[in-house]
Amino acid sequence: MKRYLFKIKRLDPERKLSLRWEEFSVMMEQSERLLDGLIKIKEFIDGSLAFRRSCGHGICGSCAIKINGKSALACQTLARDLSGTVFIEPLPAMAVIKDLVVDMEPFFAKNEAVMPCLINDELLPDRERLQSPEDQHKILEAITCIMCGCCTSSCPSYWADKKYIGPAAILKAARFVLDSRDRAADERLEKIADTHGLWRCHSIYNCVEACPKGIDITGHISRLKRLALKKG
Amino acid sequence: MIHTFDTLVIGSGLAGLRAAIEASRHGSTAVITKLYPTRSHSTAAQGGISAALGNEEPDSPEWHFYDTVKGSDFLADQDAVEVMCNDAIRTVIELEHIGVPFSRTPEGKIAQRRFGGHTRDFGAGPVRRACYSADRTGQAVMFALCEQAERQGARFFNEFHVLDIVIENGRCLGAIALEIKTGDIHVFNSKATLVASGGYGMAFKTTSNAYASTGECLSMLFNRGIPLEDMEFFQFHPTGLYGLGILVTEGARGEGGILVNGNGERFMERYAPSIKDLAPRDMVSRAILTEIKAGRGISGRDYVHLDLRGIDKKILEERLPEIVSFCKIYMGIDPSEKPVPVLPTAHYAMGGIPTDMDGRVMKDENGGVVHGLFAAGECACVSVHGANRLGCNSLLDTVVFGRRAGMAIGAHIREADKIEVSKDAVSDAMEGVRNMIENKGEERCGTLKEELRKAMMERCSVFRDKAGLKGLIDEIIVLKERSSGLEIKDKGMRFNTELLEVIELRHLLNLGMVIASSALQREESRGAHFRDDFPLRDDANWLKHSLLFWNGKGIDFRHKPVRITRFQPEERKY
Amino acid sequence: MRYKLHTGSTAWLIHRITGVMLALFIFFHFYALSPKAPVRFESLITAMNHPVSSVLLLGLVISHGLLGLRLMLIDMGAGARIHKPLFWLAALSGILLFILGSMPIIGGLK
Repeated sequence: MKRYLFKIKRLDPERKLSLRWEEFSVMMEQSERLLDGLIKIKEFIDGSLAFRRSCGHGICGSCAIKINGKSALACQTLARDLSGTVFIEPLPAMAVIKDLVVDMEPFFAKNEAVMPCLINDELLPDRERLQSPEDQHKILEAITCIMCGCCTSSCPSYWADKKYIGPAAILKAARFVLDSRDRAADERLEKIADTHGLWRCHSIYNCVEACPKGIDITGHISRLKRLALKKG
Repeated sequence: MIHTFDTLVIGSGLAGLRAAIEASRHGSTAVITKLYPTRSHSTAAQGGISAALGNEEPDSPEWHFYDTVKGSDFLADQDAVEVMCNDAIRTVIELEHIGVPFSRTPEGKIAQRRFGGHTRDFGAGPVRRACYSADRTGQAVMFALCEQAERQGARFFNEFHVLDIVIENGRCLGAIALEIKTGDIHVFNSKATLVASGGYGMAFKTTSNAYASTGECLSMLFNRGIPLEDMEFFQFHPTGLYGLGILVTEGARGEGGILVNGNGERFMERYAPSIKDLAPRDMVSRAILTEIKAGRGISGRDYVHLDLRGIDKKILEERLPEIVSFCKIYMGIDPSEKPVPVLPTAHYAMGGIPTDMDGRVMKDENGGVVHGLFAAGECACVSVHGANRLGCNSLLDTVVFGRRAGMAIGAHIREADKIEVSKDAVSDAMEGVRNMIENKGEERCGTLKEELRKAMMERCSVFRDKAGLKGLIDEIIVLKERSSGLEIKDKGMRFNTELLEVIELRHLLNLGMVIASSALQREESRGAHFRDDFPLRDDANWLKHSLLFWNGKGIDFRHKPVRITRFQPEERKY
Repeated sequence: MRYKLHTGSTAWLIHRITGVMLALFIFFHFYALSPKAPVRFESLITAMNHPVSSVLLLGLVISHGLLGLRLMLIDMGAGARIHKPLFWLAALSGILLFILGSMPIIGGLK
């Protein structure tokens, strides 16, 4: 067991408590997650600490926060990889509702804008549509996305322009554009190739660094850029 | 705020979404979830969805039917199982059509893998029946269904916590929920309400379930006199990461992984000679704990090894990437080089709200239904899983019965009248919330929760006995009393997660009592319920479902027969 | 706490800053050459030929140019997964070119 100092940036608009750093001292095993530390604080020190969590193992995407200056999942950050002091803040560039809870509605709305649904009006076969393993591999990375928000919140282009559709939405578009069963690639590319779309990406790579699933988001975005150019 | 919808779906997992898609075709549909849909615990399902597609080797729905019934230790209602297995092929193909990115065979068909308890020729050997998408099948199906539900026009109320499901005069009127962001109370009047709130693994200390899996909807219905069925049957998945309980899919064993004890022995050969490590989960969990009790854990400690080193590295990368990632992140182990320490973890609730094959909630053992109330998914008990669920059958159960419930709802709302939740129910709910916030006392939510979960894990998990269960019930009674002294520090209404945890804990204590009581009354061992003091299966006295009723002061125990159509109970050997 | 800098964001920052400085330089260059410029032509030529400004310009052009090449490779698809090694390649070759290029300029000081 080791003692950790959690410095958490808190905000509670309801009780008019403005943005401030609060310190909490927590004992943690090396194998425990940062999320376990937050839960200990909530259960035994200060129950008003607000944060999101659900699965606890990196598949639901609820616990995305800023840890030591970087967007990451609290449940995938282990005590053994942290030094004695940890700086914890809500995700950058998102409106804070309370403490570490941010407004995710704009993030999900951007996702909706790329028509995130398989579109294929051809006659359905009796059995499954065939898709070669090679074709399925083309979307393998994109389907790994858990919609946690680490990427979009870490993107300087998004910081500068909140209307920018963001890496997560572009990756979602890529998931369908690259799916051999989808027939709306042109429509999607057109939707995202506007002023606040695809071309705002300057290959800064913050998204790739932040992504807890290790997806090469920038690679997918540049792939879509090339497809959009080819299409004209 | 007051909302009126034809259909209200509580829970945005696979069952809830599939039902919402269906119900939206017939009327206005609202989906309430305490998270965001993509965060529902269905996304954590890894291994696959079972269907006798026969893409990799010959298979048949009849074998699937038999396997499921035998896997359930003959407690499953066979007519329902037959419906599910026969609908499986159509279901999986429909999922592919809406875009689920299944892994593929070289010919381009949906790829299938072996899974525990799924056999060919009525038990001759394992069969490839589990259709998968790497080891993220749950997530793959969830995202596709989420997208479809939005497209169909279902209205989502995200981060709304249900406070009460209102039932008056045998009729469900809707629900009352708290909007987490603002603390406002919302009333949902609906002709049909579907409960699809998932499981309650948080009752146990070591679980593969999410923090959100607390089962309060079951407790709410129980408090209103609706029975809960087969609550003693809770599955402990054999391979959870040691110490954390994080799930390592059965698919790992399906791809060739084996379980090894401290002597380096593949011990499942002794417990299930024919299918070994692919035996049903309850048998494997008991085997692991028996080995450990006998001192054959790794270095004499309390875990065994899951050895994946025999699996081709390329297959590990392609078909099991998530678990490789978990092992590296949480244990610092590369499973292609070192074996992984595992221990059984609380995983799935076979029991739940009793329903018929179309999701209508039954109010007793005689076939009476609660008008306007439906349930589907893990929280429901049809029963297709009986005393033990086979892997990959839950994903199937949720989509098949979610759809059937949606269809039944469609028929129901066409004929039902408009209704309204009574003002009394609303003021009761509001008062309840106020009381919890203003309550003074010495108790902390975290302490009580930890004590409950520890006690449930020690005395009501894989191995149970009378003394342990009685002691557990006494302890829960004390915890319930202590819970009246729960004080919360957060007195605000906006995003008050401390309040939500108190609400969840109260219901979890209730569920713990129900599970322990149900386990105490069943004096036999069947499937996942094993009694050290009654170690054999007793078909003469116990081939029946347990139904627990709250009578206002205590629990009534009633039973209903198992519907047997095709397969007579036999000895469950593998 | 300020957001952490990585290789990719560092490259972008350098590229952006050098780009802005080059743009300012070009703007100033054209403005100074125009008839309306208040500065006298000879002093301008002297200033621009001064070793310090030449070396500075060389540095700006090399860094912006090489990082720009890195971006082009990324956009063309070849560089997506190797963007970090590409940065270090650009940095090292940039330093080398800078040293080679500034030597004659500084040599001219004698």
